[in-house]
Amino acid sequence: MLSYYFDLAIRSIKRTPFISALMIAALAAGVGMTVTMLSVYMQLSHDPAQSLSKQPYALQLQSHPASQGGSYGGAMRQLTYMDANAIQRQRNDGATVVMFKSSFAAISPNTEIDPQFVEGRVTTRDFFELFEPEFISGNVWSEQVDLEADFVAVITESLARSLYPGQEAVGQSITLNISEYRVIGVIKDFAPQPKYYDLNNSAFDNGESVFVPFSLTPIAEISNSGNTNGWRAEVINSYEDFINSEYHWIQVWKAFDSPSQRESFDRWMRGYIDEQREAGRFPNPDASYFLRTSEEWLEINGVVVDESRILVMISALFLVVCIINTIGLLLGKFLKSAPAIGTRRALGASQWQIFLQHIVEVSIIGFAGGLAGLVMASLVLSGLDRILSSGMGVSHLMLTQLHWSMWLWAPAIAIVSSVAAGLLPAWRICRMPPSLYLKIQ
Amino acid sequence: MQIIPTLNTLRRNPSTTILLMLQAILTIAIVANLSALIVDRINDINIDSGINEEGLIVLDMYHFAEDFNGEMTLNRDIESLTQLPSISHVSATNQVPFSGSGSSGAYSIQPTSSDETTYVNAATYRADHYLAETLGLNISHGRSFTAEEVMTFDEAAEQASIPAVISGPLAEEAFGRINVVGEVMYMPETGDVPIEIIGVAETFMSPWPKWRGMSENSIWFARKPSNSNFKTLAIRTEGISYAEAQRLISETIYTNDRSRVIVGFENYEQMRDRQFDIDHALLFSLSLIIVLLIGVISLGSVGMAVFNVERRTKQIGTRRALGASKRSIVSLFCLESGVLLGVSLVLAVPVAMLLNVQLMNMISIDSMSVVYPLGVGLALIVVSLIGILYPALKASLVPPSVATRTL
Repeated sequence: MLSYYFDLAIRSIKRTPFISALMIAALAAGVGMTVTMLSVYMQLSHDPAQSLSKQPYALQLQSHPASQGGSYGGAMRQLTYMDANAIQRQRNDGATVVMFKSSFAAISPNTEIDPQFVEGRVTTRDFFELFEPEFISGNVWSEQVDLEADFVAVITESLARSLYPGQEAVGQSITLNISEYRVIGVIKDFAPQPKYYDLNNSAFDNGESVFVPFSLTPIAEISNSGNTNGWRAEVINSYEDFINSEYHWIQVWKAFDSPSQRESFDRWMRGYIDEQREAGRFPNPDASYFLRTSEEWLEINGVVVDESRILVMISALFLVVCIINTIGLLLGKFLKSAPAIGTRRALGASQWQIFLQHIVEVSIIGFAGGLAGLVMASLVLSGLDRILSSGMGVSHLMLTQLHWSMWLWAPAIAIVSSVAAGLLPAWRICRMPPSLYLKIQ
Repeated sequence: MQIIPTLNTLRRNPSTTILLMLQAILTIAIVANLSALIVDRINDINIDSGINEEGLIVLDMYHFAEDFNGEMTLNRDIESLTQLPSISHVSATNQVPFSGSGSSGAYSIQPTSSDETTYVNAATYRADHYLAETLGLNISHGRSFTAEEVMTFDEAAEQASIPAVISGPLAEEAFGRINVVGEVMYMPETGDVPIEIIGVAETFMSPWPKWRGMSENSIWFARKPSNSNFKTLAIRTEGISYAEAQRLISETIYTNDRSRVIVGFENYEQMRDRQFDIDHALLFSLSLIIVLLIGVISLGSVGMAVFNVERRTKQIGTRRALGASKRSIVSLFCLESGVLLGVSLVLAVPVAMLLNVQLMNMISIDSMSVVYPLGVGLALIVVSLIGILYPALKASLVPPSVATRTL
């Protein structure tokens, strides 16, 4: 039966090629725009940490006076060096990542290769355990290095290739600014999008290409190239002044293996806060700390921009107009074929069969519209990619890639829209009294 | 008049009438709001930086020498670059308007030792005395700096007062007027040492065009380059291509000192555009939706009108047989369409305003003027009436004999 309706539907679509094309185009436009905007929204709200084996928590410490801002869920986005270092030294309860972004001139021992500017991350060993970049060769530094600094570095595949063309990188030396480091590990290029572990400068960038131990910070006097925020005036004359200041510039992440570990850490943190408050360092009597899941962290940092929400809403409204437009066209088309339907009814077709026949026709149009919508979505996304990726300077911008779930969403939206568009016209035509049209014949 | 039969026709086809009206109402509401949003963002993108953008190049460098002396190195750069015939001015600065990153601070009109001090936020420019002429900044009141006033932070803190040039909006926010030459301000970093305002630039934007309360506020101190790794030069070029400028400048920079890497070399327009990439993406998306919407609606309406005429062939024939002229058939269709769209427009205005309220909850925009839905609605009526002409003219050609054929 359905194959007969399918045949009838194809004939009917061919009979009015202009109107059929118009309906498919209208649905394609509506579905295409909706899918595009939904895809961008999904990419923005994507949490890359979801695929990690441990849930990482961003740590915030509310150490400044309550009156001094704290626009990231009631606290500042980063910590002071003093506090971060204390948490790093405690290190008993679970994984501890303490880090900041820095820039370096990376110089190869091969003097024919020009020095190049690279972004680097100054961090602890646990960064690799928690955020899981993939090692190609070598390994991360030992736990000992987090306590007693050593000039070692982990670099990415691309940096290794450009500094040591055709050679094994592990064991080579790399000069970062004026200090010489030993390369002990090479990882695959690492740039999760959004860059949940450091949202200071942009949620979308190329990531860092060199990683060095946090314990080197005061020794190599490594400068911060991320954000530095302060809440009081401080005169900084030396690097020592800087790391002993109340400036907030360090990111801290924690992960726990068990609830008891988390409790133990909580006890220690409370003790630490009390101690610092009594020493007069934390002016806020309600000083406290927060652990945010990666999902909460993305939310607090406003990674999903307002523009994206607006566009999802507007494209959905646009889809509604496209559906209304299609209803009008279907109504016109179906009612025009009323005499033929009258004959079919008179020959014994039931109302339900007539209804079904028209819904099949509408679904075919919806399916074609959905396919065309997917094609359109990828075109619009590549347009957006051209606009955004040059500005953001990101080589492979996930934001403008079609989100995998759109392969399900696009046909679903298209079929639902087309059936919604077809319901009223199909109902109207199946309710037509056959006698009226037979008379005219 | 034909108004009664027109209303009857519309009443007798309720589903078609309601569909057409819904479509028109939503179209007017959406297009009006999107247009208002587009105009708003275009104004944002075209915001005046207060400087002469053409021919300006922004160069970012990263120095890695152990004994790096910022003052010496940059003075040598400025000297050798300005000797090139195509370069007129060069300034060493920490930031330029719309550079997207830089420093800012809190400033006050009372000494900062008091507890009741209230602060105004402003972008803090630390640059040499060449900044104004290099950027093409217009100092509307007072003067710019002299070479003798360029100091290090420590030297400045020891003076009786620290000279500064500020932007008009900062003057307005702190003092309530623009011409504040000779007035003093304070900053926490130097306590009670007064900042003496020697000049005001009416427009002098901060590095952040989107930072509310900060975007237009700037203060400029005459500072010698520090020894920090990152250094920025603003370079004013004349009559030279971008590629040629890049070649000449990099050559000069690397000849002067090889222990550095050029991190960024950009036309000012290029750099400025980067601050508005989300706006460009939004404009692209919104314009595309408007174009598609208008396309879908106009083609769809013509399609429906054609059906309408075909379905009413017999009725038209009867009218013609009863003596209606071709002109009156055309005007019948136009009237029907006009009444329908007129009612839709009246209903569309409140719907558009409701949608606007919804948008205002989601994004920071000003409330939309009622001119937008009215303008869009009137345009839609004009376009639709032109669009209806073809099917209406086709209808007027229906011969009166049709009426007699099938009855």
